Amino acid sequence: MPTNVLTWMIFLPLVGAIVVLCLPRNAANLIRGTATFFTIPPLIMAVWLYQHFDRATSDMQFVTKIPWIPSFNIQYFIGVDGISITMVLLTALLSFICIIASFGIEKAMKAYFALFLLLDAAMMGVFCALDFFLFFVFWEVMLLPMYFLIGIWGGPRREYAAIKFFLYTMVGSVLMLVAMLALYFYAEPHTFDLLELASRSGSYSTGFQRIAWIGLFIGFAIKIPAFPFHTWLPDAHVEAPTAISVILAGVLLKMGTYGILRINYPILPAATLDFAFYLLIALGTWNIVYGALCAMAQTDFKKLIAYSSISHMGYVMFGMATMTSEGINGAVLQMFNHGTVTAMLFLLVGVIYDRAHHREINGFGGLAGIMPFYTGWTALAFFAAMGLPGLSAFISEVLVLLGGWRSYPALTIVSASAVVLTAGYMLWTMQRIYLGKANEKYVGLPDINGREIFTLVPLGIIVVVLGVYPRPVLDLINASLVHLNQVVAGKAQVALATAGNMVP
Amino acid sequence: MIEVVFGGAELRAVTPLLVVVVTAMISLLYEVFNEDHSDPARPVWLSLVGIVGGIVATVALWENGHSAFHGTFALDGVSAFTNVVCLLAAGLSLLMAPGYLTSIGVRAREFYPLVLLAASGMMVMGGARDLIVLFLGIEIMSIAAYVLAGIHRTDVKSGEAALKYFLLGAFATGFLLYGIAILYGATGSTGYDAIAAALPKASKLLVLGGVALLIVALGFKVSAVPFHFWAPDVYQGAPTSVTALMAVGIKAAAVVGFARLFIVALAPLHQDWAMVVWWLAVLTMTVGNVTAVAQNNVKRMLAYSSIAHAGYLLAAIVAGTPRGGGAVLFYLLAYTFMNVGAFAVVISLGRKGEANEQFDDYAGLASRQPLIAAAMVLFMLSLTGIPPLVGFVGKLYLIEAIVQAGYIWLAVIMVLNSAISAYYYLRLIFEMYMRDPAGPASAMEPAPLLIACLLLATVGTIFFGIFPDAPLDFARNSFLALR
Amino acid sequence: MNVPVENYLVLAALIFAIGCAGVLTRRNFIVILMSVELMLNAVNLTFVALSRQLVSMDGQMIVFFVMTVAAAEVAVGLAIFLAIYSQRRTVNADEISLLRW
Repeated sequence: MPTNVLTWMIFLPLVGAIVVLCLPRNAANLIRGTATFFTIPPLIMAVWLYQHFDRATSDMQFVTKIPWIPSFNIQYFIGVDGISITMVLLTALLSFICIIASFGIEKAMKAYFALFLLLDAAMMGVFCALDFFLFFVFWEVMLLPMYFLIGIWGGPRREYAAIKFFLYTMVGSVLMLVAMLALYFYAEPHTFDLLELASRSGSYSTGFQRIAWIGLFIGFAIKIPAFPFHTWLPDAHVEAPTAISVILAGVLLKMGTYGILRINYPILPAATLDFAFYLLIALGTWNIVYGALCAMAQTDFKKLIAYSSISHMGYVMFGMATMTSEGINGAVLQMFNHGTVTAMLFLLVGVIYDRAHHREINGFGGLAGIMPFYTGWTALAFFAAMGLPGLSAFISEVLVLLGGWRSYPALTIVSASAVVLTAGYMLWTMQRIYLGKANEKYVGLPDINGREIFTLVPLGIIVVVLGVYPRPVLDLINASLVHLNQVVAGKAQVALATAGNMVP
Repeated sequence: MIEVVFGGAELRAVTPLLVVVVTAMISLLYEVFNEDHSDPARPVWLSLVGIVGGIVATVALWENGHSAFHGTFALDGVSAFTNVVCLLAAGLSLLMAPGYLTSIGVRAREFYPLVLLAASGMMVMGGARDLIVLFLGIEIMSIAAYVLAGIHRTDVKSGEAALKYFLLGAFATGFLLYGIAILYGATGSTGYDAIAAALPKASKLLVLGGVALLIVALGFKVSAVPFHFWAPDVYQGAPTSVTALMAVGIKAAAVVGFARLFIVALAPLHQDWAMVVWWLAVLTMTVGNVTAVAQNNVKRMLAYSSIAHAGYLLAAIVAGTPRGGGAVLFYLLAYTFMNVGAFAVVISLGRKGEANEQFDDYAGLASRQPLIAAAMVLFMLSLTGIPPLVGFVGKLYLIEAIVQAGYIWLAVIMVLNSAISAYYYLRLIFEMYMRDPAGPASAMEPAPLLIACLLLATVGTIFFGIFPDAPLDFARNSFLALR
Repeated sequence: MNVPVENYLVLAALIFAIGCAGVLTRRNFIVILMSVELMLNAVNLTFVALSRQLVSMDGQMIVFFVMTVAAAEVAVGLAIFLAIYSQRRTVNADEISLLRW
């Protein structure tokens, strides 16, 4: 198991998808059970990975490297470092939780669970791949199940949302493909190996780096989603079924920032330094403020959470752009924290939607009296999203802002003040939905049930524990990020120095 | 004086051809003298024996650097690969034929030997190392194809397709021959090697005139824009199993003929023809894709998409390198699986009297025929070029060859074109999965042979997408060995 | 009398152009087919003339190939015409346009 554990984590869900497809159509519980069964081993393996991960080194661990298509020098090359292992943990956990949260799906459930498991496999693959080609393959494989999951099991405007999602992502993929091929041809001998590409980064000219960086960045920015490529997200979220929203916000959005850290930063360091200090930091700040303002204007509960995701992902971009150890550590921690917090929020929206069949914030009122347990869980999630001290998001946001303070005091102040906006719309929403006079229509609503609580408990524990004691995650990521920071700074200086020498 | 030689090398070169042609003859005679026509699938089996025999003979006998008949014909790597692709295309179209022909009321049992004869013409084109052999191959293939296009005698559309195909094919033949004549006059020969050797001394004006005529003629055969206008009509009008053969096999043979002629014989003139073919490729892929977007008939959409794919293939020929040639070969293999598969799905929806070829007819297919719909999704994605399916690797290989030769913009245009193509391929997926069926359509079980065809196409699309290495290497090496 | 080869070639080119124009402008199948035959015969003339010019037999051999193939093509073509005619009672290309041209 030790050497191939990542391969198992990627392909077990795929096997699960095939098994589910072979089951009889009407055996609902059997299908549910089988699907769940195939997400448990990856979760156990993730825990095992967490225990055996060497925190002292920035090297890739649990590496598998097999030639795949030698004609193109393509390898099946997977492994994890500190950045990817946090994402792998998150993916394993959320996949398991979301399968359980999907038990309510009735329509064509066989196809639903098969597609879900396929999506799971592809997500794992994206985070483990160390060969650009392999990365791209998994990235594209992810696209299709998502399209179907939104387009078939979504809300009333699902077709529009699914097409929009697909087209945006497709455009991003095409740009990424072009940049990928450019990198492949630029490297001599041609290779897709991400580590190889990074080790040769000194030889790429600055002009080339800038063009490739922009191509890759747009591809990733669509996934994050960074302004102005964000408009697909609210639509997709509103229409997607609950579990898919959770995956979308919890895992898929992280792929954008993960891709930038994994590919743009080490392979194109000179361009990264160029753009981080203008483009990335500005977009980050704007995302934070703009997302919060938009969230404030929403009357649809789910759309509000969607915009809050845009705002929170802004912190990740902000932290990455600062190029300080606090900032970048905070960014990756924020990726993990946002994954857990936003997952809770979407699950909670799903709970109320299943009961009331609408999500109009103004259509509720006084739910605290009707569904006390539900309200309690919501309060925890809301406070975490607000960044209340003692809960996980607080630490990552503070780290990000600390990182920014030295170089960008003005932007840091702007970003920090957006916390007030966040608190504003969160509390206002709480007030409108949970407090005040009880809406008579919903007096008889049943409180949150056991299965729903079961999906929330692990996330709740993580949010609280990491809020008090963030070391478990910070230890994982620190070595890799320190290394990354040095690489970018060092390589970029070399590149700048050579460029400087060339000027007479 | 020309000495007539017929030795080991010659026998070797023609054995696969003989196997196919002799089977066709036997099959034809058997159907003439056998009165019992109760089993519509029987002639298929005999023809399939010929196909398999042809593939086996090719695999057993091919050899790089082989040449026969005074260097006019060869069973080398390129030819072997073409043989396999064309026979595969022919075999898959045979598999989808019996149930379909019965359902549209075609009794003509000469269909099966005609497919074999067309395939033998393709094989001649793939191995041609002389312009006259190329011409003969084109004609053997085309004459069979004219008849095949019109084999649905009672259907006016089928007749019309045959007519258009015939007239434009004959017209193109005129250009081809005139081009050959001019090249012959300029270089004193029709053999590829001799032409390549004589080109530097030949009159440039004359040679370029001949090459221009050849480009026009072969442009007709590969349906390159602006010589494409026959293709959508013919593809739509011809019986679907014939359309599959035309869109895949005939195109493959024509493209290989094109590639071998330009990469081998006209290599010294690469600078001159590359620009022309560059524009041809760009126009072909762009017009094909943009027009495909506007189609409402699936068969016609596939016709335009096949024009677009011809553009991708031409783009790799522009590279003019063995790499480009290898990429073309591999893409043809990829294209065979995914496109034949798509046509097989089109066939599986047809009923007696109603073709069910409109986009609307595909609405809600996922709930009526989940497996067939899923297979169609695979083919559409592969045609778009989504990994890990074979279409993606094929395109990657094409792009690699194009970039390697320095045509960066061509590669960029090609990538953008694939993005456009995503729109209409996706639209079909959208119809199948996210629309409700227009009316209560009867769920008809597809014929077992058709299922076999679909299965083969599906397996090929996935398998060679994940493990493309063996055919990739083979294709590349066989073109390298030509130099 | 010795006629220079250029004269043959120019004549052939003219016949080819006439045939080509005929295909493009005429609307009767039979006339179109005859125009195609004109083109092929222009090519034959070219081959024969070039064959004598180059003192090689290849050109003359090719003419036989071309004639054989042309005959086969005509046979198939006329069969297709007959099939169409029996369906529609017309030999006019403009009237055969169920499919968009």
